[in-house]
Amino acid sequence: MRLKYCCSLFFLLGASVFAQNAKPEILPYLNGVISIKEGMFEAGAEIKINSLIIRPYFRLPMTDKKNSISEIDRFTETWASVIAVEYTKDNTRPNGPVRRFRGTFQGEWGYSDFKYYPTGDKTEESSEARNSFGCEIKLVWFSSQGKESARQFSPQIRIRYSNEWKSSDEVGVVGPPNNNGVVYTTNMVIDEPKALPIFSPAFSFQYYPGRGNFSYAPAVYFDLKGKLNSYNPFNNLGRIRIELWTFFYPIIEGNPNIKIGAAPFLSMRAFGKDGLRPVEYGAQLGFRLGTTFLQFF
Amino acid sequence: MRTITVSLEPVAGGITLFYAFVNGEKVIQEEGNKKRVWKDKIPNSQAIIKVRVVGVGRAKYKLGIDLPGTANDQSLTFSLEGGYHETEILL
Repeated sequence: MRLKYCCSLFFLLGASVFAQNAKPEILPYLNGVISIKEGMFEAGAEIKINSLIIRPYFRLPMTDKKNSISEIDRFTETWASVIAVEYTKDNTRPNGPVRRFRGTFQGEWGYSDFKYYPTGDKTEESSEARNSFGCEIKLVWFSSQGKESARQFSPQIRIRYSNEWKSSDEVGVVGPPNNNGVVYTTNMVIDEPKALPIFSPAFSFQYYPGRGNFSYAPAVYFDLKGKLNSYNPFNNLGRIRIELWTFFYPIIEGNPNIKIGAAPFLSMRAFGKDGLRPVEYGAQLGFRLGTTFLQFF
Repeated sequence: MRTITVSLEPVAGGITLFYAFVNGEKVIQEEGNKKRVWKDKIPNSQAIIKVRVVGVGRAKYKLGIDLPGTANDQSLTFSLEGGYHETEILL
C-alpha cells in the first residue's frame, strides 16, 4: 500500500470503548440490569422464563461522558423506554455438534419536550413535544463440531429502524449593543427540532478457525436515511459500509472475555447526497469487556 | 434426594458458551461472559456431570461442584484446547 494511503488510514483511525454492565439478582426469575454502553446509561429488569428473556428498561444519555454522569432534568433531550424480548433455541446435547440460535426483538419509545427561540429572543420561548421510536431485530446463529480445534461459525443479522427527534444545533445570535456600544452574541437554539428516519440492515459473519486467539468478522451495513421530519427512510441517502474485523482475546487471569478489535472499513454512497465523499475509507478500533465471540451487533 | 450446585465461571481469555449436563439432562446452556450457576435436587444414586465449554484458543474456566457429603465446595480450573474443552465427573 502506498505511503499516502497509509497516512490517510492513520488519520481516519477511529476508536470506540464499551463499558461494563451488571445484573444483580432480585428474584430467581428476575434480575436487575444496569449498564453503561456507548455513552448511554441503561437500567431496568430482566425476566427469564425458560428460553424466553424479557427486558424492560430505561435508557438515558450521558450528560458528562468522561465522568459517567447521567442526569434527568428539564434539559434532558432524549430518553427512551425499551422492551426487548429474546428467544434462544439450543440443540446442543452431551455429545455431538454445538448448535444454537438466538433471536431478539427490541422496541423503543421516548418522549421529549424541545425548547427553542425562533425570534432569537430568550423571552420568546417555543416548545414542542415529540415522540421518538425505533425497533430492532437481531438474529444470531452459532455452529461448531464441538471438539478440539473445530472451526466456529456465527452468521448474524441485524435490522433496525428508528425515527428519533433531536434538538437543532445552537447558533450565536447577535444582540443589540449595550450602553458601552459592545455587541455580543448569545448561543441559543432558534430552529424547531428535527426527526431523521433511519433504516439499517446489517450482516456479519463471525469466524474462529479453531486455533490461536484471533477471530474474524466481515460485516456489511446498508444505512438508509430519509428526508427530515418524515417516516420514509428510503428517499434521501443510502450508504453501504464494509468492515473487516479481526478480534484478539488476551488471556489475562481474573479478567476474562476481553475483546480487542481492529477493522479497515470502506463506506460507499449508493444514492443521494451528503457531506462525505462518495467513497470513504479508514480504520476502527474496538475494545469490549465482559463480551463473547457471539456479541457483535 | 440431595442438593447439588454446579457452577461455571470464566477465568481468562474468551469463553463463548457454557454447557452442563447432569445425568444427560441439560441444566446450563448460557453464554460464557459471566458465572453461571445451577442448583437443584438429584437422586441419591450415582450422578454423572458432563461439562462442555466453547471458547477461543486456550481460554480458562472454573468448574465448581458442591454436593454436601460427597464433594463439598470442589472447584477445578481447566484450559480449553483449540477453543473447546469437555469433562465428565462421576459422583
